[in-house]
Amino acid sequence: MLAVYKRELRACFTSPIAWLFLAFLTVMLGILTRVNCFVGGRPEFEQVLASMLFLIVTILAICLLTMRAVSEERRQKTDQLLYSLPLRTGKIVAGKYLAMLTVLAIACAIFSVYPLILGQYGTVNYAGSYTGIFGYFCLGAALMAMGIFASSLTENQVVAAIIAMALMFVSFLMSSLASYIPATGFASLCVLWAAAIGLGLVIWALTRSSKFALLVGALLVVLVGALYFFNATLFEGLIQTILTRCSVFDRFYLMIMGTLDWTTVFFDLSITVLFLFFTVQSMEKRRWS
Amino acid sequence: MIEIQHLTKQYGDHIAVSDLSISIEAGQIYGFLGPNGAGKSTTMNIITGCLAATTGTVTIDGYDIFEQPNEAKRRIGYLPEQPPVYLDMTPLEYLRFVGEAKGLRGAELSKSVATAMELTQITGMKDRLIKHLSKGYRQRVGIAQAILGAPQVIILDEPTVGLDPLQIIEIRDLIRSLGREHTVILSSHILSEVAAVCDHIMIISHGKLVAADTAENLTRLMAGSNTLRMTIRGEEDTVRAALEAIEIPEPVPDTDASEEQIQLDLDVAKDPSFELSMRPSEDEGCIDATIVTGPELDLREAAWAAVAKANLPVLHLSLDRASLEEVFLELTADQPETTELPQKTYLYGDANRDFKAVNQAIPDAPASNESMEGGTGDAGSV
Repeated sequence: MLAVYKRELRACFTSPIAWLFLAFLTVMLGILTRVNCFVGGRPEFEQVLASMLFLIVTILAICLLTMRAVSEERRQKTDQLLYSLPLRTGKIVAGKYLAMLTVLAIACAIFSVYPLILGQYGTVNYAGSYTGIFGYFCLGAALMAMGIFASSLTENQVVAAIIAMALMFVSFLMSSLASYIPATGFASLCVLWAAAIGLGLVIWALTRSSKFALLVGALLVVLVGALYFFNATLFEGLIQTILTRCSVFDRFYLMIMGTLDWTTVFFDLSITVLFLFFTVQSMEKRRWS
Repeated sequence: MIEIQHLTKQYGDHIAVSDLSISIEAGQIYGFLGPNGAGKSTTMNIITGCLAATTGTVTIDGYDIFEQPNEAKRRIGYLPEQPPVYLDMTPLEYLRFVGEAKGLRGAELSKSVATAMELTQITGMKDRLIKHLSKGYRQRVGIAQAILGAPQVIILDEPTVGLDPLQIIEIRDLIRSLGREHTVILSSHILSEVAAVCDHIMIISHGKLVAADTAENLTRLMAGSNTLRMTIRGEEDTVRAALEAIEIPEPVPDTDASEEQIQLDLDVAKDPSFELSMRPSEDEGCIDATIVTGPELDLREAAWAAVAKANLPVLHLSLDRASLEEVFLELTADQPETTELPQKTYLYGDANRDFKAVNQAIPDAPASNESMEGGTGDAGSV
């Protein structure tokens, strides 16, 4: 794993990609800090991190950094080398992920200087600021896992970046989109049914086993329907709750509010592990196709 | 060393490898030979764990590649069809990465990398970026990666594709020298390459193993006929009289040959017939004579003696043997994949004489030329 980590980190820094990533984020955060804190006269650095513009920039930067992680190996056929080496796929993915995470950690280390600079000109809540930076790191860690997963789906970097952006933006906008869905129980039921059918389709697309896909889809539809029949009140506003709870961004806002929320850390960690697991499966699948 | 049992790989409806069973001994060079798309690369990818088989098992030194992949892969060095090099690294950095991934550390790592670079002669290029290296050097970096850490088995998929003739000779020499200490498996669709380097040839066609033996045995057991061509100065009648008086030599039993082989030789000796045909030569006053005999009969010396006795000058004398190419073409000939014909399989010691008949039916099959002036039975290239 160490060998893959070292190679990946070297690849990030010998190509301009990691430098661009760091420069892009640092400069954007610098501009936003100037506008918000110096011109706007607000000392809350963490609010800059959570500003919509900076989060969009973060999504783009992480997509750019992670898009080549696995897809490039496939395009250059170096994945065959990785498969033939005595390394488990899990360790390959972990090595790659940790290299990307190191780049993010460097970015966060640079961000840590900002509150100190602000502190020269006024009173800064350091605890809040650094909790915000820590929350940002956790958010970035989860997004990177999504990016690497997207990269493992295709050998085209651009396609990988687009898939990653779609995943991240859906996550970003999830809770605001949820507010457009009626809060009635029936609406929740319909959405859950659609999700069950969607899951069935995804299973079918991945396994080509129509029997299994149909079974899973039908089972979920029946289960959800039965639950609604017995306890309809449970479904009121359920979708909104689920989507808000499942959005890595909504969780991040909790950290920005000044709470060092360990459930958020645990949640981001779970999302990371989940998507890295998907990445391993996606790479293993190629061996079987 | 490597045991492949009932290996099958299916892509949807297409069967790439079909019930392949091979046993590979340590310390030999094996060649997978087959036309493009025969399943060579697929087989190699499965042996090295890059691809999972649909059914069947592969064990390397007793370790199953699917059940104990790390133990098995530690014993293998693999060069895929396209050298798996990172273009933005130098050969030194690249080989150090592969070495570390193979579990080498510290001084051992440096020593292995230096040895691998020396063997493949890339030491002079070690600090250049791989993307600036030519195809030949990239291929060498790929081979260096495969032999790094001296694995017991080295698997090379078409190692000389895209190289210039000089590089091909160098790589072949390298493979031969590797074969002294390692088990080497290489694949190729070029016959001369396999014949030149390998101890054993395995011919694969449509995902099936159709033949496995040494180059010599494959040629000998499946060759159709020998053709002796002579140009003799003289009248047609005198030439014919001289040639018809050829004394057929007693066959010398080959000590290396199997019992069946000796039996085959004796069979030929019992029926020492030959076919003689003659026509006027392009050279004035000369006759071109062609003598077709069985595959075991070499009449060069006898023919010379017979003509010399009649005091006729010989201007040209050469022997065309049915070559490995002929064998190859015959074995890999396109057959409809669905036919229920009994599968033609020729394995060690299994002298299937049917091949002889089929082989002769191929008109104008290419043949190597073994002439008296030089040439030592080197199979020509496709």
